[in-house]
Amino acid sequence: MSFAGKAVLALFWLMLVPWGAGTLFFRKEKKMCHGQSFLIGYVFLFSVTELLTLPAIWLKLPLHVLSICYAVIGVGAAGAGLWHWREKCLGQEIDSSLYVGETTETADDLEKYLLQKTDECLSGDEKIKSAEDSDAGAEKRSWFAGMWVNLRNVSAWFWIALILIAAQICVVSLLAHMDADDAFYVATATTAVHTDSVFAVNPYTGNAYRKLPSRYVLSPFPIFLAVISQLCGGLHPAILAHAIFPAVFLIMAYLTLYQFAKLFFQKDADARGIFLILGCVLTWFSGFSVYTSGNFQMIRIWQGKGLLAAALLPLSIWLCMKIVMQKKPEFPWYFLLLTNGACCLVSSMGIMLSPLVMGIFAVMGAVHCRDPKRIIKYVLCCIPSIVLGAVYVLIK
Amino acid sequence: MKEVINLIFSTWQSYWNGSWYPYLLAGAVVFILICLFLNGQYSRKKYKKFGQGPEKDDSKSDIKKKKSDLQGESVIRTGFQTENADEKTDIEDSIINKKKSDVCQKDTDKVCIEAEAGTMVIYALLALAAFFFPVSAWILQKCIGAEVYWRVLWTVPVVPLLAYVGTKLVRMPKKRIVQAAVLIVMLGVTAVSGKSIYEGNYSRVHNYQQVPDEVAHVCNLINAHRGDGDALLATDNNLSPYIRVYDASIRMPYGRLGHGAKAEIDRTIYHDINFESDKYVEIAKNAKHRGCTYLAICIYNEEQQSEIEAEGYVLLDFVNQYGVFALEETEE
Repeated sequence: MSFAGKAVLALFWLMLVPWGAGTLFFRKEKKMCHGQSFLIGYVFLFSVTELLTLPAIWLKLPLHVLSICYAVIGVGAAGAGLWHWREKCLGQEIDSSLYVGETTETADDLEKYLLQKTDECLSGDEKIKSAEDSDAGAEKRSWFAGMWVNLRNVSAWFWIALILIAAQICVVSLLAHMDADDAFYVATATTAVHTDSVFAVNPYTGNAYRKLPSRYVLSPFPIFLAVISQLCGGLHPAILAHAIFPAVFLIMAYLTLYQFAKLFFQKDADARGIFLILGCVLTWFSGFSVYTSGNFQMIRIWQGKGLLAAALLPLSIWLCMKIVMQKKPEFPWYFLLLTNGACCLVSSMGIMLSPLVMGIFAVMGAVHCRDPKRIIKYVLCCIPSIVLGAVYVLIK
Repeated sequence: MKEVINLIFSTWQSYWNGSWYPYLLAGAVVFILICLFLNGQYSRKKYKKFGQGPEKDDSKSDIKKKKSDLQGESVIRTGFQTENADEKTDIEDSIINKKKSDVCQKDTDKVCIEAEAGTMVIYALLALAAFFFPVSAWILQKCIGAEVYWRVLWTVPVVPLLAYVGTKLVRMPKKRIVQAAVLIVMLGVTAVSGKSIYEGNYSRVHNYQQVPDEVAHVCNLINAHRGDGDALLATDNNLSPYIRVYDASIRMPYGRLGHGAKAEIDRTIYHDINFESDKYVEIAKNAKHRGCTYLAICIYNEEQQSEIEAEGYVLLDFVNQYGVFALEETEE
């Protein structure tokens, strides 16, 4: 397969499938934000990978079996999500607020809102008459028209932020950063692809494992890399890790940051753009030590711990703000369960740090909402960490 | 416990490494707490100061202005001259009132926004408390390992908090040009406070796998020589981490930092090749004994090369300073 074909497959498996799978979780929501769909789609797929990979390691299944299982679940979820999304778009009058993901406060919007509401109040005959009198085409907009309206309304600050993010993606994807930890993380994937096995061969030497590495085996993120490599027509795992993963995961990290912008400045598009610009620059100047999350984000986000620091821990914080700290949660609690599963996949550190983040919020939420049941829900959401922690103690 | 406390502070220092980011974070926390305090007491009055631009406030007057227009207009558009016209107007009024109350709710929304930031600050303070409090620190160090305790600081949302306060400061002036100037100052402060990631972290290479070019050339040399045969390569710690990243079909007696070495002879080769610059004979003998079909080793003079060749290795080529040798038997 040509390199272009592999690149298209990478786009399909790393962008379209996560987004499609994510839409499945927002099928009942009136407002659907594609960024949130993308993020939730990823945590779902990471959790699925964790669930599939651990049995595959112990059952010594070949990698291609795991890849097929992942492909079936991923495409199934994405297909179902896209079908629901299409139904939603075609089956109802499309309100411009659906695209923006928020209601705007201008007088024009108020006019639209009033006309729509008064239309709703009319009887059937009046509605027909009204529809005849008014320009129906102006009321019903196609999806692309809505997108175009959105693009025109985007703040100038936001465009500047996008340019900065694009520049960062170019630097991270096109230039090389040498990290000796790749000797394990990327070599595990290249070894898995070469031997068609899952954690059966030592990536340092190429010899069979005598004893599984207990610290890493419970967080088999390199196997996700190997699976995607196989699904992308055998695209070399090192190319995938060093050139394509950074682009995708930086988008993921900044989408997460954008969720914070929406949380803080829900009705101020300019402020959201400025927030992103500052976020970009703060991350770019995090090079003062090799330990910071910004450093991990910019130089080795393809390693699971980099992704944990850059996207999944901030995502956990944002979800906790939306779920644990709200008297009426905006999202279902199982989103936290999925996020915890995703954190467990990407890094052994995620097994501990994800419950720490959620635990602090659980205590805060229980006090804030005077609802001790939140602690129980928190414990249920941390089941992946609890189970893997117990397994780690057993196999250590 | 003293060790735990020492580790906490040494970790904190090495994490920030003399940058101003922790001071910026402290300033951001204080700023948000002050805003929360002030807004809690004088919410609406103060929010006008921290407001998000003049266009927001226009919508209230817009509503009043539009209300009368819309009532008439909507009657024309929807044919409201029916017996239930009054009822419809009541509905419109209720909708307008609802919308008005929604707009008035905006001030409360701003309080909510401050509250969201306040929630995050409280979370950040609790996360820092978990990091600094010796008992929780001891537990965390036991769970994740003392050597990576610094990763607990990843749970503190530094970038969102700093970006939030920065945005608030930028949005204080009403004129865009002033906002842009404030933003430039903020970006300058950020640049001075930290250090660019770009410095010393990225390089340009000529292979798609983005491994050191030396590694790619060594692997290509070996692959061109071995055909379908097996390859067991011994090399130093500069190349060994990336060899199997580039090509997993090349096996090695040990990996990065000697990881994966099974036998004593593997560890001996690793030690000699990395730390003993004058043991070329021993290196070649042991490598041959171990069955290493290839050797990639720094060659500084002809004597070193001849010592290796004397043990049955032939030089394939040089890749920069590295001589790539193949065991003669592999050719037969």
